[in-house]
Amino acid sequence: MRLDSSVTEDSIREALTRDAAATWGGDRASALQPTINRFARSIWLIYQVQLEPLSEEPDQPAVGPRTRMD
Amino acid sequence: MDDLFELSATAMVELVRRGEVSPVELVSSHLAHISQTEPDILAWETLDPDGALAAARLLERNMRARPRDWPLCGVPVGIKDTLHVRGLPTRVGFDPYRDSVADEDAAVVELLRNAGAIPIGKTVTVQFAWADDPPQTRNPWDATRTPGGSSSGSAAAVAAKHVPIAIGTQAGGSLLRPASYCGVVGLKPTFGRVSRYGLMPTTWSFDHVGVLGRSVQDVGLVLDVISKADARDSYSARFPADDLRGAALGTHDAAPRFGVVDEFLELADEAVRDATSDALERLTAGGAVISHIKLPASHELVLAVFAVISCSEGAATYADDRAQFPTLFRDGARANAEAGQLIPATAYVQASRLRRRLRTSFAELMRGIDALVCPTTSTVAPPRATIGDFRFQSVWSVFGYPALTVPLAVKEQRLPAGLQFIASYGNDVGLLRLGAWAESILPGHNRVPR
Repeated sequence: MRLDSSVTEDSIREALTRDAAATWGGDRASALQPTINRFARSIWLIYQVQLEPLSEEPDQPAVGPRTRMD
Repeated sequence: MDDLFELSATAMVELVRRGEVSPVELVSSHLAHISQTEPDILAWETLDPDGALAAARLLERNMRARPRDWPLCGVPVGIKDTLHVRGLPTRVGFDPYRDSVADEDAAVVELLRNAGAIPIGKTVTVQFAWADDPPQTRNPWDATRTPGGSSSGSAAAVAAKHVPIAIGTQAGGSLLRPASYCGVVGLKPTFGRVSRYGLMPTTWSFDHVGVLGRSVQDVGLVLDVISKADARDSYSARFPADDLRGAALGTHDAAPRFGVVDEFLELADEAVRDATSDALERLTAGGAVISHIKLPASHELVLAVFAVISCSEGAATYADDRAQFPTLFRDGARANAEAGQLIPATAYVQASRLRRRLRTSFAELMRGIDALVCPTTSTVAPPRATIGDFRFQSVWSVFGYPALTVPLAVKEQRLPAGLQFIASYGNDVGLLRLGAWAESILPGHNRVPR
């Protein structure tokens, strides 16, 4: 699956649906469709925000550096 | 002495300290009440009456032999069935784990026992504390309604006075939502404040351990005990030794400054919106200064980050169980487990990068205010086919902020709602102080289900 800010929600949904059929079979792919739709929307949304690289990537847990245990 | 179960945890501790009531009497009173009402509520996955009475007798001997501060002496507690309790199974709603007896207490259970609390059993959870599969538990206010989830049994047990305190967990909205639907106080502390050692994980980036009780004072009493850094949880953090117990006593020196999250107020249904507006008027009359704030990013974007990270992690955690026992997964958990395996690694990384940046912009919201305020849920408890709406609670879980819900009366409805306060990262002490102050002003917080 190609992922960048120009990819559409529909194309993500189609790719996930294809993957679901290949991985879990056609029957399960149908059962998974509502979840796939939700994930496609989520993945599309997070790629609509363009991110400049930071020195520390991708993320630390929510714990801040001053309180993190040694 | 038959009605000891009606008392607050704070009152129970005082009676035991004065020698007027024994831990055995407290446990016995609660067990008798549970035996009468549990068939209508189904809050418990496992009850351990023999173990609880034995622990109460041992506590009585220890209190005589080793006089010291026992901050929770004799208080019966329920433990969500995602956390290990030595000698009891941790089933997480999954039949293959039916006989998986824990040989060690979770860190939070260990701390509770050391403070004199008596675990009396494991409370029902939504399977794996994941997805939206309804549990068997009923809402004590109305058996046709959901108690919410995933800490379903913990919230119902506290509302029904089976225990004054229960431990719950929350990755998205799993503690605050059921607390709101069941009309009790719920506290999700700052991420990293309470150890997750001994917790069956759902999503390690978001899993929190928290407290449900019938007053802010009671949950503060418990948070004071369970707030402890633990090297066995890699995300555990050290915090200043705040007086969490004292903070929950309900005094606030200066006029509290609240930022109302308008986006959630607008998304709530009319009854909850009216109840929230009424509460805000009362808080203002009590001296609070209210401002209105706009989220720096849509809640939908934050929840997209949550979905991608949590379902990737959950799918990895339960991959082998899914492979072995697919038909024993409930529908929602199975869908998350299977579709979660399809999320590309790059999407997980992108969500994590975005979370980092969003955290910075959300932290700006807290400047100049003491807490954010919004309804805890968009409606009162819906029918039992669902476990309800998690949007209003999950946004704050993503960033690890401490959040507290206090019960709210809703006009012309018997069912309660909740008012949610969210403080800045690490400021649990300020959150408890504000929560106790607000609780003393808001109506209906001492109502109980029939």
